[in-house]
Amino acid sequence: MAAALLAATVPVAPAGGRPLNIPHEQVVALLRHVAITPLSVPDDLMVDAVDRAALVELVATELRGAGAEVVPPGETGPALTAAAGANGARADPAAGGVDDERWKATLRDAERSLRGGRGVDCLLLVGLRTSQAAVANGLARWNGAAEDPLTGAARAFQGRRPRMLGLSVAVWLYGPEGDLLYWRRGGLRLLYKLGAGGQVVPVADADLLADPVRNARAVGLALGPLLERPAGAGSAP
Amino acid sequence: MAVPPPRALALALLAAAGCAAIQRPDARGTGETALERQLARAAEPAQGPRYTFLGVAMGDRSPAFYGDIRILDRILSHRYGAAYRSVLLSNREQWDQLRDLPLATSENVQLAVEALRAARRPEDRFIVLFTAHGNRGELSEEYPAPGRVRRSVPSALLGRWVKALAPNRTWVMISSCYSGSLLPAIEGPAVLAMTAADADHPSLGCGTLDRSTFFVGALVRSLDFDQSFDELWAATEERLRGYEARYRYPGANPQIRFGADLWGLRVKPLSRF
Repeated sequence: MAAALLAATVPVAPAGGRPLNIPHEQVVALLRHVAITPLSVPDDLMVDAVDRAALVELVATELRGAGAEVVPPGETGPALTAAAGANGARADPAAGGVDDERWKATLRDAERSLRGGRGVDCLLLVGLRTSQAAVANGLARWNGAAEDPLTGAARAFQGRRPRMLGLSVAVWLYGPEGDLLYWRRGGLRLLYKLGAGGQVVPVADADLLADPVRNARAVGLALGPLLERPAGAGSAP
Repeated sequence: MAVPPPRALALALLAAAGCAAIQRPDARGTGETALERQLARAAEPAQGPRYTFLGVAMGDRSPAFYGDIRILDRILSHRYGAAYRSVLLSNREQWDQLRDLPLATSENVQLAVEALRAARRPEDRFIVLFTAHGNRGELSEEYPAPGRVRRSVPSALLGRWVKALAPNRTWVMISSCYSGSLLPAIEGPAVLAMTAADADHPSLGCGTLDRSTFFVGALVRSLDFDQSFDELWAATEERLRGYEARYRYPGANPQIRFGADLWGLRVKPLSRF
């Protein structure tokens, strides 16, 4: 299939940013009971429910490997929806912005309602997000991943496209008070390739999560600094 | 000496070009997705009914048609598991040197339909998606040859393909402009037909950067096998209206028809198809 013909995504340097908002030891101490949400996907992409669930399960497996007890998305999703209904939408149409207090209250209420009211320590939001991928030296790079943007038929094409769109697995970890503790994106795959003649060709939606190796790599990039403390991490930004 | 009218001449040239193009060595696909291999897998027996998806993406330059058949194939394969069979044909321009899927030419569709008809059993179900550009009474067939071949698939031929699968229960979706004009040709007692538009309107979502046609995008996002076909259709229409409103398009007016034997499906879950 087409997926097998595509150039592989290879991990390169870690994604940039300062994902930890509190010392690493404090975050790890909170990873006892973690609720994980269903995968959110941008509206313009279609991902089958089975693929969504499989990706979230990869994330859950990583957390369990780190010793966490995971509340599955089947429970977390409805709790978050109910809390959002009670607190109101995060977006504030009157002020034209985002109401952070309302959002924190939503997260806090959802966390407290889980595990039969015993609550969880953290809530992990999981989604797919798009990012700009800069092209240099024949590779598109974004969020720790790199991929050849050209197709086989286009290798002779010498055109240059300095930016493309890459898809990433994104995670946001919120603490018991609704504070953002950690966020990270792990590059998954390019959303477009360059075909013969240099035209932009979308990757089929069916292929976005079809490669388990890519999926695992992207999840690893997204969770890496959280679960495997890298040198130099742990200080507040 | 009589001079052939321009239209007849053009048709003759197109036919000649088509005959030459179908002889390209990879026209029937390569590797595991070569047409013969797909058809062999589709004929493999299963316990209970087999659910066979025939996805035919006849446009070459818009990736939306290829995206349509691929996403539906992925969802259905997860849904039906061991009972699932599929035959995918696509005219999309290739990224790499070798064509993976067979071309969605009339010749290959004919081969596929004949093979599926020969291998079917009474309890088998068919799910068919034709996705392409279209005009009143026809679908456009476009594929890279070398050169580019453009032909039309008249509604009568489309009707013969669908009717060849009768009396097996068959769910046919057509995503193309004016696809409602094809309904009279494909309707039958055991056919559930859905079209992206009525006979008088274009449908949207077939540009060179579109990931799927609007109709299939709306349909796929609305798929819930625990809900009824009526609910699926209502959700699909609502989504489509939202997409079309963004483009200030008054509406393609998608159509649905239940064959006489399938009327009861309207209120039954999709899982009962």
